[in-house]
Amino acid sequence: MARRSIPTMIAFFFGAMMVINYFVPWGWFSDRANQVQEWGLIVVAFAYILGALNVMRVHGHKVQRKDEDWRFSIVTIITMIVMLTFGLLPEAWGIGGMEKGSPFLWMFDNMYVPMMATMYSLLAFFIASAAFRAFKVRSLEATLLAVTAVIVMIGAVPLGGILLPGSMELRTWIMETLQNVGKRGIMIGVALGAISTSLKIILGIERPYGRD
Amino acid sequence: MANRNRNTEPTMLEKIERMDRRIVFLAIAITIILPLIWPLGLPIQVSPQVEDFHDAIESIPDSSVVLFPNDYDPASKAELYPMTEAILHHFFSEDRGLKIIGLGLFPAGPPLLQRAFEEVAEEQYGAEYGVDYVNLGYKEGREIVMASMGESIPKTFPTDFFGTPIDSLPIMEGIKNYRDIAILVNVSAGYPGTKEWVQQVVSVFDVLMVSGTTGVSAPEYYPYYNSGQLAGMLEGLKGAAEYEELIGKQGIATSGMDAQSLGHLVIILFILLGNILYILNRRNKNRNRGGRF
Amino acid sequence: MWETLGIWIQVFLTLAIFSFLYRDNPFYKFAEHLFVGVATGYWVVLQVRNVLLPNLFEPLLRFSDPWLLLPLFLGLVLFMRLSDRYSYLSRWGMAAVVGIFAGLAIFGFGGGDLIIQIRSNILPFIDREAIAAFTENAGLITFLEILSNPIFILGVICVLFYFFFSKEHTGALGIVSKIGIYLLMISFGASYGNTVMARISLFIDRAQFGIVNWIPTVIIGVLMIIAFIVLAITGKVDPKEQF
Repeated sequence: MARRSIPTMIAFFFGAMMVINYFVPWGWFSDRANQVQEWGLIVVAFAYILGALNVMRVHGHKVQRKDEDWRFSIVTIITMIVMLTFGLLPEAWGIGGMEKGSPFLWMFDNMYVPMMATMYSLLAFFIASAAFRAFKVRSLEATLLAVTAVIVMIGAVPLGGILLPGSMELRTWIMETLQNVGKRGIMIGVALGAISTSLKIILGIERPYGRD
Repeated sequence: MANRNRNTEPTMLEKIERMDRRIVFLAIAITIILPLIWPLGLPIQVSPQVEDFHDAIESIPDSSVVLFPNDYDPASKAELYPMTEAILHHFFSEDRGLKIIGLGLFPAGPPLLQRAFEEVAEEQYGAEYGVDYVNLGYKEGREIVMASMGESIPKTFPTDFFGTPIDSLPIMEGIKNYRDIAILVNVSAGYPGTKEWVQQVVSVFDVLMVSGTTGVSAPEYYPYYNSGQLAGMLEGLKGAAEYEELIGKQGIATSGMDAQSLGHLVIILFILLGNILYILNRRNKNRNRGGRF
Repeated sequence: MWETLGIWIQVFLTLAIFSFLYRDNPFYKFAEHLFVGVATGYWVVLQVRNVLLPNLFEPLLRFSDPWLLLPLFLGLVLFMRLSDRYSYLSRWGMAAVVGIFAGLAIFGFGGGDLIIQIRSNILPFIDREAIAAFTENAGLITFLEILSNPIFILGVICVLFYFFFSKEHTGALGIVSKIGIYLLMISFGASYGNTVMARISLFIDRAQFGIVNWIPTVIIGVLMIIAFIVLAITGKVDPKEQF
């Protein structure tokens, strides 16, 4: 029983504090609500550390069991430890900290940044291949989708203005009006959904933090 | 994909329709790389939402405080880093004494922001850290951070990105919460970002806000622009290039626009080619079966 | 020295990831695993240095706010997830986070999206300014501007009809919801067009990087191609096989 009711009570307390804060945004109560918000950001930070532990555990198991590609898992574990060591050591030791020129930032700049940027840039190629293969005008709906996409693409670039004069103005109108209607409809729908889900969570009707 | 009779050999057209996708990859790579080596110098036209963005920053009084959350990471650095630089040029080039408070809600954002501050504000305009600008760094908590800053910025960010207590920085003197901020200039790659700043800050604390955002999320933010919750918008690299044009500081975004143009052109051609092949192949198939198209 | 080494590493990792476009291969796998290690390490350091130290441990060590023991407890119970017996305790921490987000979402979505978007859609059906602009300068765009308000007013209703009515979409309702679908398709088309724009920009950035640092790019690129040829000859990878 307590297993079930304690999390529900915690969710109710934290959620209700936020809601009441909108109605009483001053004085003693607001200070308490702000304190609760600060607690929230601390708890979320712990969740990240839990995530990192999990990554470590998964790759550790892979190495232990000598699964496929286990040698690469060693790379993950070692770089993670190196990054943690450089990052968490105090600045005073010369090699720690996040100041300009520190090993931690050097690894961030020369490994994290180029790899993440490149991974996402692969999508340029996959979207081109998808455009060629999947963008077929099979129905009126598909045609509307394709035609809008083409106008939006043409109107977005300087070449568009040369090949098709007025395309930028047409694109602007589409973005501000024609496509905006759908977005506004979705936004209203999502807002209604989010509000009702949130209310259900605070009242304990929905319990996304885990079931018994 | 239409059904294909397994017994018949695929025709030439069908083969082209099903070509190795690495050919498409190669075509894209070449069309984008060539104009970067030999630029065409196509003229850039500024769209109205970019002008609005610019005018909003112009509208705030001199020496006021700007909140500058850079909510992105290296995944969208290509689009948003040039934007950050262009916006910093605008902040510092006119010598208006604006005070810029930077921060980031993506873990990997603040070092990129710091680099932009150093390369533009410090090196080109001699701005001083802690006096003209500050990097509050990263804070976990997404919407919670935004809401919490409404009560107190120094409580939410007791230290800056480097761990320096912010009450020791002159720029933070007298700054408590959003009431002390003249404009919120957000550079955003998604969640948490522009949508959440609008929901938690603009609508609750009535703060003037503009947003520079990736091409992917821009369409979602048009309702906010239309309703006036966003006073202006920059869309992706294109928005950054238009902004560079507007403030007369052509940089990396402008130099990418020719490649962007040709990239779009080649994708449109691929869509057209894909459809022509689709229609022709379907017609052939129906003819072979004696059916009507 | 470190700067030059950095550039070479950047070039190698960039090309290693691009090599995935050819096919999955050891260079890509190495880079991928390196990335996971660097990224996870980076995140943890940032959480500790930018959140846990300033907002939790430093005030606790100064004894300035004993209430902070509560979030410390809620944060620590999250780790119980790793134990089988006490994993139910981790729900306490999760419940706190979910509760706060739910509370913030009600007014965020209510005040920021729902009310203001509905209010902004209450427009005059005939926009006199647009008509004046059209009579002054007749053209396609000024004509479309006249249509903007009616499109907003009727269009949003159509889209909402498509979403909400559990009644069967036939007759007049069918037409209205059909228009709703068309408008949504236009909306998705615009999003797709902008997504293409964004993705291309990402590659432009990497291409610019490769051009600026063309010497290491060419050298490492050629070496990688040789490695692929060797792998193909020795039969370790099949060049025809796609990933």
